[in-house]
Amino acid sequence: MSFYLAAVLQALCLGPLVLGVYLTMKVFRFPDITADGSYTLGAVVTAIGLVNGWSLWWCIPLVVLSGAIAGICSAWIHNRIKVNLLLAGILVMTALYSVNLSILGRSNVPLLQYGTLFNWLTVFRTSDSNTLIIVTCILCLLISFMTYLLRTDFGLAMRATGDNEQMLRALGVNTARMKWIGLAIANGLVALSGSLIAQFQGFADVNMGIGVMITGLGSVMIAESVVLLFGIKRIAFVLLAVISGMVLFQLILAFSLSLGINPVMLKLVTALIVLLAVSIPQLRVYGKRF
Amino acid sequence: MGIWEAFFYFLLFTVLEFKQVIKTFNRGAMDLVKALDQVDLTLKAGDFVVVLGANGSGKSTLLNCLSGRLSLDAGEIWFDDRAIHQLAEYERSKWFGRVFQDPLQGTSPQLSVVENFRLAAVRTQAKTMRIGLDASFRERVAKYIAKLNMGLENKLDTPISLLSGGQRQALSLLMMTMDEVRVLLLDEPTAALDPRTSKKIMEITSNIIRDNQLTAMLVTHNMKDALKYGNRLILMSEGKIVRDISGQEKENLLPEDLLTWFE
Repeated sequence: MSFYLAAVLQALCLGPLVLGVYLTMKVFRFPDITADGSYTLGAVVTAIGLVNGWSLWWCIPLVVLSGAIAGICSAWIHNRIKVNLLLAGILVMTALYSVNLSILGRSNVPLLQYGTLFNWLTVFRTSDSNTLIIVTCILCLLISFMTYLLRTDFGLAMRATGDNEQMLRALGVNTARMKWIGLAIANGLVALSGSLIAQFQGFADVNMGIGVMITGLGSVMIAESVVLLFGIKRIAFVLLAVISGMVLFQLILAFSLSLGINPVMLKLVTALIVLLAVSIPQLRVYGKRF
Repeated sequence: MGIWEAFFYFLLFTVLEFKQVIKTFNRGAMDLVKALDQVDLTLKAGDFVVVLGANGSGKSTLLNCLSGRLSLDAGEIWFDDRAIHQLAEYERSKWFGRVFQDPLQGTSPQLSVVENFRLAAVRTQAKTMRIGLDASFRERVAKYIAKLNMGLENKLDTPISLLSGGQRQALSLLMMTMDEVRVLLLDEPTAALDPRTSKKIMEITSNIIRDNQLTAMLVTHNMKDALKYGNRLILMSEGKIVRDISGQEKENLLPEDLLTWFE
């Protein structure tokens, strides 16, 4: 049971990441690959902070800020040098690998002996329950923030950016600005996820970000199908569905591990789940039309 | 009218001015196209100018240079008493309301009808961290859309992508007048619509322009519309304005005259 609980906790720690991926999918209709790098960056900054004994009150904002800067770099390359966003993201992700490695000093730093965010509160005796409470609180805060943001005039403009840039410019919106703010928020969230995961798993690793964006994308796709299926309109519920998508995702992965699948095959399973999630809306549409 | 009177009239009521505007595509290449060739054009407040011309004559380029979608190679564009040709497209939208040829371009498909209108309602303002889409705003939009008599006031929460091209075009027209607008730029707004819907859209357009006393430019290929609407008509050919008639002269224009223009 605790095996599955760990999967759920991991999924919740990845919650901010899914919210970030959802935002980029809305703002750009496009997955932002910078996430793979900024996720690790979040973990790396956390590790440095914990090892050097910084207060978490400083560390967490710094994590979000570092992710935001990574996002702004991608947006700048895309806006100024007119590079395709996919390529801009890959460039920043690649550059971040060296940055992360040089900040961390070596490829893996254990964090088990340090006091993390999850040791900070002790309501229950088991550490898993405390982790659950803290992560849930963080997610509630983030969901309220995003729900509010996406309902404001600014948020409406942000949601329309991926839809129809031409119309937005005709309505007086600086779309380049929308993009860098959107990518900054998204990558700040992704970095926060990296930080949470590092504290939850008890180590930071320069390779931990590989393929993490795909996991987020898969969760968003699962959620989109659910949202379509039940006709969910309220943004708060959509965001909840997006996070539930990640929980489902991690549970499937945990289940396949418990079936005795070789951990080496885990990325293959991940890819297959995402493929399935991506194909569900297609199947549904064709089912309706023909 | 005396000469001084005429001069002051000119000073007071000139809204838009193109000065020696040049726009070239494929510069330096063999297939160089002079889309706008030293165009001079002055619009007075309340002018409703119909722009005619064959394909590739520079009609759309004229509008796109004005709205900022394209940058000029040379020349100036003045609005009121300031040069605007250096401003970004989004900055110029404070004054210009635009309706595009493709109905899909004027609206954001994923957003609902009322959300699209909310964005349009703050066209000239900053999009702030304020929730402007409240019950009173919905009511305002519903009343506004009801004017169309298309039953769209009951579809406020429908994603715009589910509406037809004609419905979307009618809505994007209304959206442009949700916030203060000085000049309406219409680039073949009915080209993608069936004849009946086109007629309706043109009537709505004409009413909006009349009721709000707007200055407007309409690019069209439809000869009937060109004769029926507007107080001024210009014909473009190879990047130049070759004819410019207005007032009584336009009123007296016959379809046969227009056809001979194109020969």
